[in-house]
Amino acid sequence: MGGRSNHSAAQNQPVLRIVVVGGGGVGKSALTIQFIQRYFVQDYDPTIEDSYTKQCFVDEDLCKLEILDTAGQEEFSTMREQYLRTGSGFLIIFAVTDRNSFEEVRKLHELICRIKDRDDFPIILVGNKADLENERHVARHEAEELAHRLAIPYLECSAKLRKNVDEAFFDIVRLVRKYQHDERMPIHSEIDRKLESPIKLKKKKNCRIQ
Amino acid sequence: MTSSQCMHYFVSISFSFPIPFYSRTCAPRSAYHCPLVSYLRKTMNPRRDLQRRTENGILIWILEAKGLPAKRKYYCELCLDKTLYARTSSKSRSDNVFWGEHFEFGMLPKIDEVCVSVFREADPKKKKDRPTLIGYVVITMDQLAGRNPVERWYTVNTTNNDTSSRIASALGAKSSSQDAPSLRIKARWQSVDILPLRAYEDLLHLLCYSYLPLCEQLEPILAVRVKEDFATSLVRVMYKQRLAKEFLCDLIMREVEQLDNDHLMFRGNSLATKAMESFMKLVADDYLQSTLSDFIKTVLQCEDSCEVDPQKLGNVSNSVLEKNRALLMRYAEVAWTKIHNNVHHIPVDLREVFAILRCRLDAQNRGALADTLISSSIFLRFLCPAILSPSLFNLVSEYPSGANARNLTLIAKTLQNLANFTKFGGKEHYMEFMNEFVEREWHRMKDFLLRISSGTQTGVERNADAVVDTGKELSLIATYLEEAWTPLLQEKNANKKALCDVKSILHDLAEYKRRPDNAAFHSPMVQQPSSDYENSPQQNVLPRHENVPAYRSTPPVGQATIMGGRSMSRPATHLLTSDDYVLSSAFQTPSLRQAGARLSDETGTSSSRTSDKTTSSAEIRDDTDSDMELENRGRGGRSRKRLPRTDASPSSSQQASSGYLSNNPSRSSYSNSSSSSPVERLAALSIANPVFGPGPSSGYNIPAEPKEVVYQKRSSPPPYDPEAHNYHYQPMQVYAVPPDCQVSPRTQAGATQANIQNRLSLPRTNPRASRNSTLLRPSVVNVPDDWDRTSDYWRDRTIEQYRNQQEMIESQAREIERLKKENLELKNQMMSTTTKIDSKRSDSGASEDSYDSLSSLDRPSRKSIVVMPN
Repeated sequence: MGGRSNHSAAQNQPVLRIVVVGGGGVGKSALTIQFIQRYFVQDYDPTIEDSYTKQCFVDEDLCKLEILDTAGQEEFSTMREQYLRTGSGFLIIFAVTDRNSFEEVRKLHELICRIKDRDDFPIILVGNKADLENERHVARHEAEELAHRLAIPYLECSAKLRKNVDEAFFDIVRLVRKYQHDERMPIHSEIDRKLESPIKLKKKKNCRIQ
Repeated sequence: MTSSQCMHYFVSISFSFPIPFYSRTCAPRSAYHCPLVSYLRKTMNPRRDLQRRTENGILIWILEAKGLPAKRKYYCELCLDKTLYARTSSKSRSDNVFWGEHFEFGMLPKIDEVCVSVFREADPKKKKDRPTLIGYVVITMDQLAGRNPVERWYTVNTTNNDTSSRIASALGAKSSSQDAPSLRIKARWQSVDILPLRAYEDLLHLLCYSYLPLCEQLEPILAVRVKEDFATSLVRVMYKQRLAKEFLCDLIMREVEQLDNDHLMFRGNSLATKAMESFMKLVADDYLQSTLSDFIKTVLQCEDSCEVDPQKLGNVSNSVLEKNRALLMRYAEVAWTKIHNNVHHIPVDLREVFAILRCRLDAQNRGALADTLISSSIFLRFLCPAILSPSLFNLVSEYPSGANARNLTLIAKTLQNLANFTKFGGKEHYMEFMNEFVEREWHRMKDFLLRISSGTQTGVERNADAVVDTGKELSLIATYLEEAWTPLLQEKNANKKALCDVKSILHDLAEYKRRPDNAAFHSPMVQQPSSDYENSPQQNVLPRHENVPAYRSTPPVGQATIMGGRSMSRPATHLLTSDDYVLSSAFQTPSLRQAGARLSDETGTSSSRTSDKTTSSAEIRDDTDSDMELENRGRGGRSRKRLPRTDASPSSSQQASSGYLSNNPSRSSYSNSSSSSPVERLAALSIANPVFGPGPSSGYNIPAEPKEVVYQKRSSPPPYDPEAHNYHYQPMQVYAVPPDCQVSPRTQAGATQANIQNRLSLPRTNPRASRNSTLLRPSVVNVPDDWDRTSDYWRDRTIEQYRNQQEMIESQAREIERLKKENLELKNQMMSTTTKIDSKRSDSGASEDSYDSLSSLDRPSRKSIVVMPN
């Protein structure tokens, strides 16, 4: 929330699109709202697609986040297609109390990598509902093992207790930054390309004149 | 189904199989799911479920392209083995060129490759400009043969001609686009090997009686993707067995009972939710179309945005925001009104499921959950996804993009909130203005959910019974089970009565499949080589040729003689010659009768050469029989007769030459194809390709949709059913009739008795054939009493169809009678004339002459059939 003071700096920052994906009812919205608005939503209503923006400091650098909270139901898979293409980092959420949601992780990971046409991409595996220890159906080591195999980090958190919530989002920002730094060249060229296209150029000009 | 839709199906059936159509026309992409098409298929080949067959189908998503220059719009064409099947809409490049369109084709012949060509649209300003071929991607079928769809980026092969080199240089000039152009395609080629329906009897029995324990076992081990496929197949089978209600309710209630958190109900992707979703797609498609189709089209045509998120809008005046809000409000109201007003169109099947669920929940004192459950079914799983991605539900063909997609998202969000009975706020504040609408409509939502789940309401009767290919679904289920049913699972369930048989059932099925010619399921009349005319797999054709024993028409000296025939030279490889063995084979019924009886006696065990041979002879007879059938059905019979032949032509290159690409024999000349308009090509297709000749519609009217007979569940051998017996006997008589009697009775009648006698009794190729066999003696094939056990199939037949067949049989019987009489007359005539004329001269001369005349009458049409594929 500290971004408000430094508005001009924020404008130079690229917007990072973080997409929260995972099976139905695993707590994607709860996690996102806990991060953005700092409270725990009790009611579980299925989301179709919600987006939020937030500015925050991660490692003393201001960043502008656009967080997309998505539907867990397979039925909305074409929507997924759309937002997966535009996301710069992903949180794959599953519920440690729901074996099915854990099984879906691998598929989601594969999907992201395929759409991005990359072997690795900024993705974090998040096991939610860690507070419900006695209802746990996915052991921690299982999740860690899967994360290791997919070569992505794993975090266990609880939206209810606000445990590891900020960490998950901050970590993904770090990963995205690192990834973009590593791929600096392509990103530069992407910006160049955008500048080249006449419409963009015009807009920018206007912007500068203002 | 609306009449216009009906028309469309009808036209595509009559002009083209397979159905090439263009996505721009908003044509439903899976027309083969259409009940009418399925019904026609079944009518064309009523014995489909009695034979082993292969169903080929392809599902292909043309998703996006990258590395294309940002210039004008692009579209793709989809060719299967060089026949144009579909075209995407034209999309301009934003980030990538994104189409996101899917196509599904079933009932395909065996194809070797898919070719997706990317075109750049013509410049609208230049009149003479034509679409330019950018390049193509060829995917061979073996790459797609897996169970799951294969999705990957394919590099586009740019062609080497002038155009493409210009493109290439243009690409090179753009320093920014370093990537070579590539296409992201997701596709699955499914070739389902389907055994005769009765092979699945045990499996079907297991599914019908033990679906719940089975699902319980499979739920934790199936992957999400398989879960969806499995649930879809299962629900379709259950629907056909009239068990869908019970199955769905049991499955859903089990999930409800297991969940300790009511909020999570129906939220995940479980077998229950997947089954419910498939069921809704199966039965409520018409409802969806009638409810939302117009609305979605209106929204998509509208250019205005109804974005209400100030952050997304940027710095705009309040008036714009107000305007957008008003628009969104109006959209939401229209959508909701349409849904609410169309409540009586919800299919009875679905209402019944909802009603039972409500009852059961009430009985458990959890009645409050009923609304949540029903709303999650119909809104979260059906209506809202359909609004959000209408192209997935065949409401429109094009994938909505940009502002349109956002508009649809906002509408779906509003409706979902209404269905959740929650107000906006907390999550997205900018939507709070819609709370007024949501609160106002709550009571109507309650009313709606109650109305669709109360048994007293009468709804639309099962009008168009969605037709399910039970054999195919069962074959798929068997495949899924084979993958999932590990020895460990079997061990676990060994003591459970319900599931202990799974392994042996699967083993049996695998065993049947391993048997190449399926001797176990052969019986004199059920064998037919191919599924039906548009789908005769070549593997069936080849063995048939190989198996054709030289003289299966040997007189009843015993099986040994028949086998002896094998070593002799083969007179002809197929039926299309007018070689006489075909004829005489059909006449020599005693041997067939023997073999037939024998075969039926040893069901399951016979794999000897004898049965092998009988099989092939039965095949031959069947083939001619199908001709008869066609002839009988309608005047279009002659032209339709070509169909099996053309289809069976083994080489795909032949096929290509008959399609629109006939002027583009090689891929390098693909750019030519871009010159003709789609309409021209379609026309060319229907004219040049013999497959697209006058179709089934030309000859006869389609009878009314059959009412299905309820499948009898049973575990013991069926009770004796005299009617079924009669029914089975009758066709036998017909099938034993010499084919030519039906095919060209006039030819026969016109020939003199001597010719016929000569032709029949002195086959050029079969010295063993009896010389004094009685002419044209139709005979009844003896069928064992337990025959009906082999064909539960007939029980599925409708009364109408029964009547149709009965009529056919009767007319054929009359024909036989007539020919018998004619024969007798001719015989008498002959007897009287032989005394007067020099026997030697008349014998040889007449036979020569009339044989020629016979064959010349007979040949031309057949010749044309043989020639057609070229």
